[in-house]
Amino acid sequence: MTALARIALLIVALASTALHAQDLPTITITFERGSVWQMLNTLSRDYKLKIAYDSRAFRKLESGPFAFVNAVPEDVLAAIMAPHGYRPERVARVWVLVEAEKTSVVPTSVKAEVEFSGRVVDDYTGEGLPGSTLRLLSGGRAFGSGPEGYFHLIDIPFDTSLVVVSYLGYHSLCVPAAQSAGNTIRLKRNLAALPPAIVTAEPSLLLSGVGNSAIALDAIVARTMAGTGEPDIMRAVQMLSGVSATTDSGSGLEIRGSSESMSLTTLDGFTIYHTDHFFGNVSAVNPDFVRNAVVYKGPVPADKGGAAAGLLELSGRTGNRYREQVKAGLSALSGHLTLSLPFKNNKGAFVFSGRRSYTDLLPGVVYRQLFGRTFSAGVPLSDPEDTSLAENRFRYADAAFRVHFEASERKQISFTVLTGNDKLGLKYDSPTSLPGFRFIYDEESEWGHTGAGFAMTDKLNNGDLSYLGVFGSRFQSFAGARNLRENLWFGYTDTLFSRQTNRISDVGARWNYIRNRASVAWNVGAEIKRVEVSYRSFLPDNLAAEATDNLSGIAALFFQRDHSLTPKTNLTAGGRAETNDFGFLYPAGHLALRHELSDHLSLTAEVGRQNMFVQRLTRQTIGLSEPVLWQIADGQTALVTRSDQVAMGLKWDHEKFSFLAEVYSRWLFDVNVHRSTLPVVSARVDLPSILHGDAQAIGLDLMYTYGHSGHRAIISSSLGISMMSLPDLQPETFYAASNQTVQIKGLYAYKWRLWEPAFTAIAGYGRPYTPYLGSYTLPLINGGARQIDVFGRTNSDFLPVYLRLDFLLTRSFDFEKFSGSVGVNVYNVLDRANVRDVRYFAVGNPDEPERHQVVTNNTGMPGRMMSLILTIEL
Amino acid sequence: MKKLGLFISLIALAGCVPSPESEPALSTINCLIVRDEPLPPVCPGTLGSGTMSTDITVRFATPTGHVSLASGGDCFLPTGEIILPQSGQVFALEIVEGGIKRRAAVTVPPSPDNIAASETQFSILTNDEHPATTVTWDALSGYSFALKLEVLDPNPVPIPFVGITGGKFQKELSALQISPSVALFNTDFAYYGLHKMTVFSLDGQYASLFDYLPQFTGSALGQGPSSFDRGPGIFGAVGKTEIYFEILP
Repeated sequence: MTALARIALLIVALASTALHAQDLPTITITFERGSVWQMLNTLSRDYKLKIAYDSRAFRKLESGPFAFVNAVPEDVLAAIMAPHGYRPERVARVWVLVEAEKTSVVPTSVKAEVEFSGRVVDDYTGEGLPGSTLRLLSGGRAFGSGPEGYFHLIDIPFDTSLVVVSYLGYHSLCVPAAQSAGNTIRLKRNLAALPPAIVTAEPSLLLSGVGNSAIALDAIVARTMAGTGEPDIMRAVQMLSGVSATTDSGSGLEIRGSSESMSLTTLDGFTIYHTDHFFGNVSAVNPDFVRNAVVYKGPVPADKGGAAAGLLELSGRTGNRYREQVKAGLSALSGHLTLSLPFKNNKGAFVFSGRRSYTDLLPGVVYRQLFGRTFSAGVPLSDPEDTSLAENRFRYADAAFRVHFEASERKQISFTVLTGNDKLGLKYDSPTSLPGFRFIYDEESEWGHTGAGFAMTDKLNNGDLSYLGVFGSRFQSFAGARNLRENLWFGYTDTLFSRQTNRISDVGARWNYIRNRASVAWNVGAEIKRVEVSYRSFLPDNLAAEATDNLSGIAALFFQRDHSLTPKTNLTAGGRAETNDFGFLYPAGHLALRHELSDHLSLTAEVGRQNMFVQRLTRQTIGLSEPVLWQIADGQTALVTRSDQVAMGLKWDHEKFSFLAEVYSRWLFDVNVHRSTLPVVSARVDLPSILHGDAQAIGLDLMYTYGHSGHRAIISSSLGISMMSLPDLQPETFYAASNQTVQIKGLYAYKWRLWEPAFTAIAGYGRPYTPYLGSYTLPLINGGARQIDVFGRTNSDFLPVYLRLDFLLTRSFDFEKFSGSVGVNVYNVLDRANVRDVRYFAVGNPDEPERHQVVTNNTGMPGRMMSLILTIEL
Repeated sequence: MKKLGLFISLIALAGCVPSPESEPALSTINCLIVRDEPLPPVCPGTLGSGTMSTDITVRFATPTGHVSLASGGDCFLPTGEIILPQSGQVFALEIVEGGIKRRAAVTVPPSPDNIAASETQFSILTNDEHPATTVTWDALSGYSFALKLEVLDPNPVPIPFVGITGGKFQKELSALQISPSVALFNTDFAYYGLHKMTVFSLDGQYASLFDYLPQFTGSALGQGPSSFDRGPGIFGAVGKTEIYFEILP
């Protein structure tokens, strides 16, 4: 089958889902000699004909003149196309224009209950495409390709059945199921049809669940989300409805009002504990290394665990098996390089991707502004961008590689490693200190993440898939300080040495066995994991080292079953039994029902339970360095947070438009919060260091996408309330710190020749903070006095409206030996002073040592910033 | 376009979100029960320049029943039978302000008994910083101690220190201590004449007040301590014992 025919069939698939049945029209029309493409467009528009053809090739063809009176479409199309060697062939409700000498695209033999197996790959690179959707054109259950794109379907009703194969960011393809086993289906990329960052896709049932909560995202277009100067996949994810985008952070995900520590991010099976660089300004994974991403906002399928409030699954590139590729670029903060080298026998490839910031060597305007904002978040500066009092030297770097080897048609092996770290040297004169003292902080710190995953996929003789993965991951931070404390009253200076090391690490293995059938699919497996959290500190005020170690073993068994109840109704049911240190058994599960009301409209309902055994990293001030929020390993493996979720939604899908709506409710039980991460640190001595409570979030997510003729747009809206209760802190429930009552986001991009302008707009309201009410002086019984600071109820007020508009203009270039693009990105075009949070500081008063002045610091987000982005590909 | 309009309308409706309920300004309370002393008056205060609510009622819950307090000026005064709190007794303070009920409870600590001093009548060396006397009392597990030194002479005569500074008691011994003894140095005194030193025993809740220095929590400001389940205020109870010194010229 030629590429042209494949493209034609692809459009068949898309078009055939678009319209209801209709009677054939009769055509009366006159054409002067002109473009065939224009004639076909006219027929489509005026007579509602669905015509599939290669638009690029047909633009150059001319035909005519013609005059038709009451002609049937077949005759009209045949007349127009005959001079160019094409003929029309009707498939379903679509006219496919195929080369005249080619045989029919529709098989003529009819066999019942055939098998259909093979692999879905990228046409250019040969990379397998796991999670591709295969759907019978005649309706019924959709299938998902397994690891590395393998699929094996049996009990297909007839060999004349057409199967639509689709994958986000690629042209869909319609192939007859009569093709023999072992067939490779090669999908071509289709960037032009995508919205700039996000496209909703029909997720693979087996891999992604059937609900609207699971949304795939194409990493290759995440580069249009430049954020504050770096292409960033997390920022693209944050444009989805239900994912907060108002923290101006390219790091963790706040999904449906839950904190980022409640969500889970993985790359090729291993956990990414440290999801960012540069204190959240840049995400930790280089987008050039990522092949695709799937976001689960709601209930998570039972074969996945540890995601209490959302899951982001990233897949690394498997590399180009046929040719070398080099990609390099510069952005406002860093330079990056990606290499893809094929093996000599074309059985695999090696991919390397590295990135390093030059912020320590050449601290530019963007860096200074971002660092200033981060620094000022911790000190009461009158000018938040004035960091002149701090000497700083900061850099971040990361590297990732993946070796992918196809030992045979049936066996594939891959090995992925990701490592990255940040390093900061900071020296500053603290403007806040004890009365009579002056502090000079001098600190060195380094923190970073390393993870690795090995996977072996085996396709068995019966077409089933066996997957074995071994993974390990570690985050470690070190901070050391030699601070000077000058006693202004007695005129002496002493040096305070401090150090702190945190580590969270895991190692484990996972096995899956996947079986696909036309009416049912099974996925069974097991997972074991060993997790360790350790904390070492020596702080001068404690005068004693603290050491905490938590070691835990987690084991899980799971199963999942997809079943077609009717041709239009599908049920997914899964269960998961987990144990922590082989103690209690914690059940989890997932149940999803999907019903297609029409070709365009489907309804979903999901319920699910997940357990999370280890607290993720949290950000907190650790006392070593006041201005900088550190990301440290926090929590104990013995704590188990449980989430129960319910979601119901609808999806309306048309050729150019799609609309998703989903209502949800999520309950989190036994959420553990470190006292020092509270919005306002409580001075109550009876408050335990870790508080336990519950949380609930309810809301509505809406998302609308449009993509046509170079125009790409998305509008997403989130309505929700996220409440929390911590009985030890206060009796009443309060808004969770990650609450965002309403959020509206929009993306629009238009590709015009080599130019592509793109706009991003974000508005939000409902981020809470704790108001400061005032202070009073309380006489003590021994004659002294204390100034007591009083705050309102926790998170009982809302920050001002968040509003941001970004603009990115990109121009592509394509020379004989290389291609690439150059872009200019303007962040926060309106230069609006958005507020991330409100913090309060006590500034000592030398004249009244027992009194302090309270300074309110509205932690601002960056103002207008302009940056250049250059990318070159060889 | 109709569908887009409908979608935008939905978003617009979504914008009509309620603001969170603002916290009403509650009065500050300072009330300290001392063992063997009558219940103190309760004097509400305001934060900064705030105005005091006029709709306030105050009452004590005592081991023998409730005691209502009568409004008198800016304070509320206990009426009726005089109650002398004893160790181990539980007292609660209930305040209803603007329809909001607040409550705090304390248990009266034991007093630090058997107080004694190595010297109770002594002379001060005006050029010496050595201890002049050592005071001891019974240890109380779980309690800390606050010290207070007062000159009882209404017209005290200052001690003429030479080359050193006197009157350091308030500064040097303002923090709580766990140890049931204290050494008083010559420089802790500032005057000649009769002195009274009071040792208060404090439970952890009231002791937290002494520990509260917001600067110690890093630069970020912390919520000040409050004894009440809602709103600001301190309601505490202490035991006490006293000893007298006479500083001779």
